[in-house]
Amino acid sequence: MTTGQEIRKIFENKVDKSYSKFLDNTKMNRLFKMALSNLSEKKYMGLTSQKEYDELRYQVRTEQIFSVLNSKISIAPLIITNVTANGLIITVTTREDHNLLANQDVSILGVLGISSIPDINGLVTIFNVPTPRTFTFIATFINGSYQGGGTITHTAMIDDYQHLFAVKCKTKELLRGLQVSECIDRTPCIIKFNKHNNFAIGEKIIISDHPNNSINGTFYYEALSSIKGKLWRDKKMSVPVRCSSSTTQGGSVSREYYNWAEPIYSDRKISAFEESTADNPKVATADAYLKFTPDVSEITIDYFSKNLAQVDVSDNINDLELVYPFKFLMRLVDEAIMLYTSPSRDVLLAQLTDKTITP
Amino acid sequence: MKTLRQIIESAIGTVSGGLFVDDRNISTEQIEKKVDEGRALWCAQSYAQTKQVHGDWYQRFYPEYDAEMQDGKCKTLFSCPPVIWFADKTDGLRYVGSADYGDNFTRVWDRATLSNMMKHPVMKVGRRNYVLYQNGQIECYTITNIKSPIVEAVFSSPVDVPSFNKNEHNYPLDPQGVDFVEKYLTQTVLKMEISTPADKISDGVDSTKLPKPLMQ
Repeated sequence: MTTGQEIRKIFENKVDKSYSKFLDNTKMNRLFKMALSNLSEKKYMGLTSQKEYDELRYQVRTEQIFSVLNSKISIAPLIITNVTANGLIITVTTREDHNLLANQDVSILGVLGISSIPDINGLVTIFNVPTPRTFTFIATFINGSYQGGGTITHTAMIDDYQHLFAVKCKTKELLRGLQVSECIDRTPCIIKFNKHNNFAIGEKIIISDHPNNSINGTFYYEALSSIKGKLWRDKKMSVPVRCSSSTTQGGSVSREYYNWAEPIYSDRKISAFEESTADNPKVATADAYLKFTPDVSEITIDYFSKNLAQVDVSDNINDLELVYPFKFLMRLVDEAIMLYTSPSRDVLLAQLTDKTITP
Repeated sequence: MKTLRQIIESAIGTVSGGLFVDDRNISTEQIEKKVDEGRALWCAQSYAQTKQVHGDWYQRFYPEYDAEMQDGKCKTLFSCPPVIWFADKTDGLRYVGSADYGDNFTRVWDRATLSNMMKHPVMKVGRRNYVLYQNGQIECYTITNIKSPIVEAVFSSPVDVPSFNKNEHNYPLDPQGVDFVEKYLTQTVLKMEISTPADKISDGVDSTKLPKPLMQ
């Protein structure tokens, strides 16, 4: 068991106590916070083998699914720049576009000067969204005026996002002019299109507004030729779609992709080769958002989380080994010593620690 | 056999030590175009040696009739993806005709020939089905009234064929050709990428040529 107090003892053993004794708990906690941030960044940069992934077992988040609104998802708390009250309606202004919807619940924290019921520094439900940077909520009591501060978080954002590993995007491509011209009652149902297409076996297609309602929906397609194929309800093609036979042409057909996005950087947008397509989506980080092109409705993301269990050197209860491997904690102490040697100008200690550092 | 994506990932993975990562300077779209160029090169070289078109190179294209495209009553115009040029005065357009292969168009190579044929008492248009291909368009002159022609060809960019799915279908190339294309990618774009460090600072100075900072 390695608690915060234990970490402090190890630190003091490695550093001459006559140096370290003037570090009070607050200073030492701050030192370990910096060391943890530095070390996790170093480990992130060196994530090449299973060993590193194992050490960051709580920071590597995979296969997290989020719904996406307006093809972007917030990756940092929204910053409040103003709060005004008009009657019993409170209007909150944010620094960047908030990308929020009416009836959405948001958590507000750190607003100074205003008290309200429901508490402005708590969970509130959005009443309406007058502009991209303002939203309102209804209060039954309001007192005071805005004195500054305040951030907003909500469940439709990635609030612990630090770095992106990979992101898969759900996109839709409407195939212009493609319609279903015939349905044949088989198990599963066979459909024939009005023209040749490139649907492949296992692809997900969306049929809408066809007069034969039993073929409207999202299905997995099994191509028989470039003009006809079978419809299945599941990816393994074990649950067939049933339909009545018809020869009425109509509806529209789209293809659904769920492909990995490539990063696009602002200085490369000038390239004609950097155009995003439904089957080759792009992701950019800007304005505290992950922005996707073309239109994306859902993402599955692997990312590096900033949710770190901080070291409290006065704590003698919580076992840090539950969160970090022991070897990582020893490396953390070394990192803290390296940071500590800089302001204390202890070159010898820095060199000694560097030579004996835990890999 | 590999899909287009598999060819690209295989080539990138080979030059980057087995990894397929997204921090590349050359975009996937650019590499895709290079794959098409490598394929065209392989097909031309291979054809020059064997005088054969490999069966794996073919794709089928279904021209769509568009009334707005037509500019005369004696011919029918269709859009058609560009085809590969072979070095012996032939190209990748191998068959234009009916879907059941029962009737086909005879190829006319240029408009001057077509123009002469129009006036020729024996060869004149109207005696046979003729087709002229020029720059992504085919002109069909039919006497036997072929309703919905099909085209079988070695197209220069397989993804331009609407029935080709680049993510799912095998890239239209024989296995030796795939190996050639992967090596061609390595020699052209990928080798350059791994040997040229990115100048990431947009300040008008090539920071890759600056002296390295002294070790602290």
